[in-house]
Amino acid sequence: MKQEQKRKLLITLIVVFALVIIGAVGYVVIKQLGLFSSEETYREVQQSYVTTAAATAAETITDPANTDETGFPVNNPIDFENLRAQNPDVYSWIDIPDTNVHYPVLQSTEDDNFYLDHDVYKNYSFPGAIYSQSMNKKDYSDRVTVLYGHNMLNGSMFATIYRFADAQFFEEHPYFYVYTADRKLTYEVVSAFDYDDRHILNSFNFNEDSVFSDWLTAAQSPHSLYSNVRTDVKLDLNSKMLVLSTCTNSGDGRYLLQGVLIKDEQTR
Amino acid sequence: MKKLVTIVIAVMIMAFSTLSAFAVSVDSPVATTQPETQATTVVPKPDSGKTSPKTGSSDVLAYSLIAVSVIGCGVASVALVKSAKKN
Repeated sequence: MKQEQKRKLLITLIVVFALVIIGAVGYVVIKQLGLFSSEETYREVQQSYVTTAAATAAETITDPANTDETGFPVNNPIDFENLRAQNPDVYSWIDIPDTNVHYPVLQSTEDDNFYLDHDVYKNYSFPGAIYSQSMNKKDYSDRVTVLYGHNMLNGSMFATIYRFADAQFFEEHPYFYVYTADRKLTYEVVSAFDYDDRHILNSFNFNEDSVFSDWLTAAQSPHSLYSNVRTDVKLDLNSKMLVLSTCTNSGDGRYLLQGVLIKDEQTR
Repeated sequence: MKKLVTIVIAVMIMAFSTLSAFAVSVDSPVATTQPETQATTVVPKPDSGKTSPKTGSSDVLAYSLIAVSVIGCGVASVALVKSAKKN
């Protein structure tokens, strides 16, 4: 009798474990399908709302100091009108040469972290979107603006900002770009480093000069073993910093890429 | 032994409930959706947390569940075969 009971329990356990395996595998499969679907979504966005000529132009402009200063507005490669018709939360576009970062930037009016797991069309998506939070203005006029993006295993979203961990890549890629509906903002990369998981905008009051000054100092001398820094970039209390934040590959920390605004051009 | 089975089932259900694809609060293909109400008031939900949004892509829990279940299934199967041989 005892033997029969033991046999029944073992069979029950096997069935339970089998169900768990099926459930977990199902989860992984659903997630992978979501990733494929998300990749397709952003590929479509890049094809539909970015003009090819201008997109490649962004890649080729490497030294803002050498661009023609005729005063004519530069081209805006992003079709913000149609993109915003799809989702009014889209307010800018980020472009980092030689990475996979060519994405719209969003900010939700309802939930600061809505785009952590929703794509540009507001559909649930594991990779989410590149986004900022409501404590940042959408015109990049804050002293420190923070953009968040997932560190995806497939290299999408902000995963490839890790390329700045390579000293040579960091050296060869001094600029990245942000487009708004009527402006092109050029940022010079100041530093890339591991940081802790503090919520930057909730932890520092950058309206205080001393706090902001300390942040700028730390940006050029981060407490990180794996940092790359451009020490010759001049930072002062008028600097407009843009921080790109993603999770580290292990542990609870964050990887930050910081740039300072060096050029603000009108676009047509 | 019955208690063990109950505990295993409870732990599995709790573990699954933490996986976002199975959580009912998200708009996943397998999630339940809230009925739309008319004249909804938008209440802003600011992030006042001290921790930065978690932007990792970890599947550790799902893979751990698979690994633990495969091991558990194997051990139970071996025990079952052994007990059958005894008989």
